[in-house]
Amino acid sequence: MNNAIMQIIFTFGEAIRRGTPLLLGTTGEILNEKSGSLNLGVEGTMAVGAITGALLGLATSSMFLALLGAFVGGMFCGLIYAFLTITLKANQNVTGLAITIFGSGLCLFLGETLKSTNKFPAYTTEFFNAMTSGGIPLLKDIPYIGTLLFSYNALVYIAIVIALIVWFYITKTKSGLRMRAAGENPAAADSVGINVDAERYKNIIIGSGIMGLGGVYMALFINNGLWNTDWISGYGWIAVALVIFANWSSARAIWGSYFFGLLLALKSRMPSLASAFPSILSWTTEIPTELFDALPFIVTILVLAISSMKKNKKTGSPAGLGLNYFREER
Amino acid sequence: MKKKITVLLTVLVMLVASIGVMAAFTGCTDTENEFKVGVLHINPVTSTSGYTYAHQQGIVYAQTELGLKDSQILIKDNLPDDQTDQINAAIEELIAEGCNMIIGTSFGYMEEMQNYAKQYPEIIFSHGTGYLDTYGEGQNNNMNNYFGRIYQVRYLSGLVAGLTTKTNNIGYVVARGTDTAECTSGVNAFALGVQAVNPEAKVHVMILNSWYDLVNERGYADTLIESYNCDVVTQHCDTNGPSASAKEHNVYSIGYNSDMALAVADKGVERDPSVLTSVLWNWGAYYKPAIETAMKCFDENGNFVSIDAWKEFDNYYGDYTDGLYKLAPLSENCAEGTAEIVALVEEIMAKGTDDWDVFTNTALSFVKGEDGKYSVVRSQRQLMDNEGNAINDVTVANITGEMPYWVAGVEVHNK
Repeated sequence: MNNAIMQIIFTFGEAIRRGTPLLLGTTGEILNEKSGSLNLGVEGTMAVGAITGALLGLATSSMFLALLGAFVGGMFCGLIYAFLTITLKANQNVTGLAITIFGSGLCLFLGETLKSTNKFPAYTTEFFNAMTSGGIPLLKDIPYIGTLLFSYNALVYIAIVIALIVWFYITKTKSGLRMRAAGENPAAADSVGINVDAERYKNIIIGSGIMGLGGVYMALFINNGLWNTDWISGYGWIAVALVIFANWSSARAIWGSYFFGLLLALKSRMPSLASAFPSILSWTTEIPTELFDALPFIVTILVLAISSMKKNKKTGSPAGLGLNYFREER
Repeated sequence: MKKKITVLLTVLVMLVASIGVMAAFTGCTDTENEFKVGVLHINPVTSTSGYTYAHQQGIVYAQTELGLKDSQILIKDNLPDDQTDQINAAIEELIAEGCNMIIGTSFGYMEEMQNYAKQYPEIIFSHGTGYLDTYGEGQNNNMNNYFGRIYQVRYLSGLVAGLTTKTNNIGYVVARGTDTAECTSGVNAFALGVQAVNPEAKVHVMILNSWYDLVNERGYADTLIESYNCDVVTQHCDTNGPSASAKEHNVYSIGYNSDMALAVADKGVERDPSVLTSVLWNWGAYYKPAIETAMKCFDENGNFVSIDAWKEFDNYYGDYTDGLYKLAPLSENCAEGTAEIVALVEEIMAKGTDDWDVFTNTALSFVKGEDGKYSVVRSQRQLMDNEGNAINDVTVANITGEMPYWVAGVEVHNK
């Protein structure tokens, strides 16, 4: 039985580890969307954060510099997106897709170039041990609960804190109200003296920085800091859908991300669950693994379909989402 | 207006940059009468580990050994093997550029290559890992397929794993299941190697159903180590994920395709000791004689003479004696006696598959003599699959063969 409980805990642990980059991507995207910008560049922004953060972190063996590099890399993508859509009034969707292509390409270019010239910073066990086997001292030694709740790397907890801060900022603070106004009805916001462009710039750039953190998590913890040609592997796109799943609330995004993390973890963890609970779950070994690959995307489609059918008016979707604001056409 | 100028400027900058890059890469020289080889790769040719890297190393080896100029080797890389249009375009470009021989390194190029081989009897085609060719009565005889008995080295790596494991649980992350003989023959040979030295040990298999699944290649290894108590994991997939996972969990791994001891090594350490060894291809052992032979079908002006010389490469299925593959250097963490036992089997393999092969009813075991030296004992056995049925067709899985079973001692955890 102990073994069976451990299998469940391992599965949840994997769900939390896989859900964390989704949470960071989603939180960043919520800041973008709440201020009125439908930024489809999450995948690319995460890729840039991943490469800048990983290069800095691996080269200096510093967790702080890894996070800083990722945040700045993400902000850089956010700046491009904001400049194109707000100042130059380019179409938001097309610009977002361009950021995705640009970011993924830049990541690939830097990684491949450094790798082919043997200049890609090496993997260091010390650096990873400091972060991964860390957990919270003392608490992580509690049987079961310690492994379940306190045994993760620092970024898992940082992600939760960021999501809660963003939730507080959006729903409880005055400046959060201003940015929501810029997203809901920019013309009205403008008429009461809110600088719509500044609000959007600010939130896009900070939101993109948070996405960058999600990227460096993918690079360092999901891919162990080893160069691979597709570090983000579609997580950015799941994050875009998760915003709708979480109804534009970063607090709801926490469990939403872990739920999708669980869906992603099932492919590798289901067999061990099946051997721990043969009487209930043995049928799952007959499921083709391709179905597990498709599962997060099937659920994404279901979520989008169900949420669009809901007649409930209390959706968190900002009314001005995806629309550029032309002051002159007010 | 400003916007238009910005857009125009951007486009202009991009144009200038791309023309510059193109000019740098295509130094135009007069190369009309040379023998030219075209190569199709699935991943970027700049890869520093993995599948394309291993093939490209082989091409470079052949080029150096045969003294070919860079202008004689034309490469189309980053070519997805499910995109018929792109594959056709790449082959047509190579033909237009005057290639006398076209080598395709990925399975998916097979049908397109066969089509062009039928149209162009004066060009030699060589396709790796597939099963189509153009040999036979009334055909052009200009396209072969090539592969190797890589399972022989899998057997050797099984010896290493079986000797080193302490928990007697060994993990294997594999790309595909019983529908792909390349995978099952690898797992089965590995398991037979394990059993030759450690009959107690079990091989736990998890199937990815994908040739490239970055996140799960690592995730599967995590599961094998955490949930199935494996202390050695090996893999038949494309990334270094399983080796990275093993290293993080303080257990051992065995790599494939490229030397994973280099891929997961720490700063300042040349080879990572957690990687016991890797199963490596040495494609140069095929590309050198193949290109050399293909050249014999043309005169010095690059004109086609006759296809006769090329016929010897029909269904090329290289083995240990060709040097087509090998084990990477053994780690210091391998159990005592590993190197001697591996060397004994290598000696047997060097005699060729007529003497002994993995999938036969002759088992090998190893006895330590009083002088501390090991010797090989051969004995008869009945090969069994993991459902308890006798395996009677033990003919070696050849290039077009099937192997729709797992041998006894293999436990498969998913479909």
